[in-house]
Amino acid sequence: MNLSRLRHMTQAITFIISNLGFIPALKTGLICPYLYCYGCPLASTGCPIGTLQHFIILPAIPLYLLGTLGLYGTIFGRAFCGWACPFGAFQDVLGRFGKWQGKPRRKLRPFTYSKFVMLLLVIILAWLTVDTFFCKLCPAGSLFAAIPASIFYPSLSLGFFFYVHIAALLFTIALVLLFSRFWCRYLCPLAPIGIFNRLSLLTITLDQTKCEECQACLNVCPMGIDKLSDIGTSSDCTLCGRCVEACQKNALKLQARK
Amino acid sequence: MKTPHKQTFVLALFSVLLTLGILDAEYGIVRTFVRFICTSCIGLE
Repeated sequence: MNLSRLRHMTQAITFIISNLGFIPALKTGLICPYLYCYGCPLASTGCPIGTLQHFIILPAIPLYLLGTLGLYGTIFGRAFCGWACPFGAFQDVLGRFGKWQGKPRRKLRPFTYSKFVMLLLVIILAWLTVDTFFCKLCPAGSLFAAIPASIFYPSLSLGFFFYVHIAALLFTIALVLLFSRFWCRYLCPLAPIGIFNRLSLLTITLDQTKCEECQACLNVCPMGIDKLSDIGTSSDCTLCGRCVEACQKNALKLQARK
Repeated sequence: MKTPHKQTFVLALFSVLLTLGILDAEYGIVRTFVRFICTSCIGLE
């Protein structure tokens, strides 16, 4: 089985697992390593960013959350963004209609560190407003919770933040059509988990002896990585394996770090 | 520090945090968040 087919399969399985909450016993206290709103009536796990905000509001140190995310990151790096995140999968589908086709390396340089700023803003706004402020704007929450819940609970009326959700989702869709995986690259507050890529057990290795520097790998990278040395190590790399598939010389391998 | 040693150290560190969190009943707190559907968060009233 090739990596693309395997990736599509894991993305579909993750989406199904994330929605097993219709069985009451499967509404667990586990934390998923991607954005998936537990405002969704079917959600089976906790969103890490939602949980972080709740603990800031309590206030309490989120040891369980930090431990869980740290273990996910140390073992898999940022692979969950490429292989599991339902919102990432949604962006992959949108990408088929994107204006950026054939030039995914186009970058917005001023936004290089914006994902770290977003995480900081999430923390500061939760603390200042004593509310899960980011959840009211989150486009993943719009897609997987606000829209399904409005159908699931027809007796509830649509409030101001429902329309804010829809606007945020439409805005994100427009940006994803212009820049590949825009949300993951520049705005996702969970993206800083990519700093674990430097030491994660799962990684992508480059065999310099086989590499002819044709850059076929960089030309297919949806995260816009533009240096060979950044493959598998940059905090932007989602270890999706598209580069591994694109390499005609088998110089790249998705494997456990040796 | 070599990467395998860093990995072992970081894995041990986060395992300790996870264990402390579970002992502090945080799993139950997160489960409560998941079971209580926050409709105001998604703009429903």
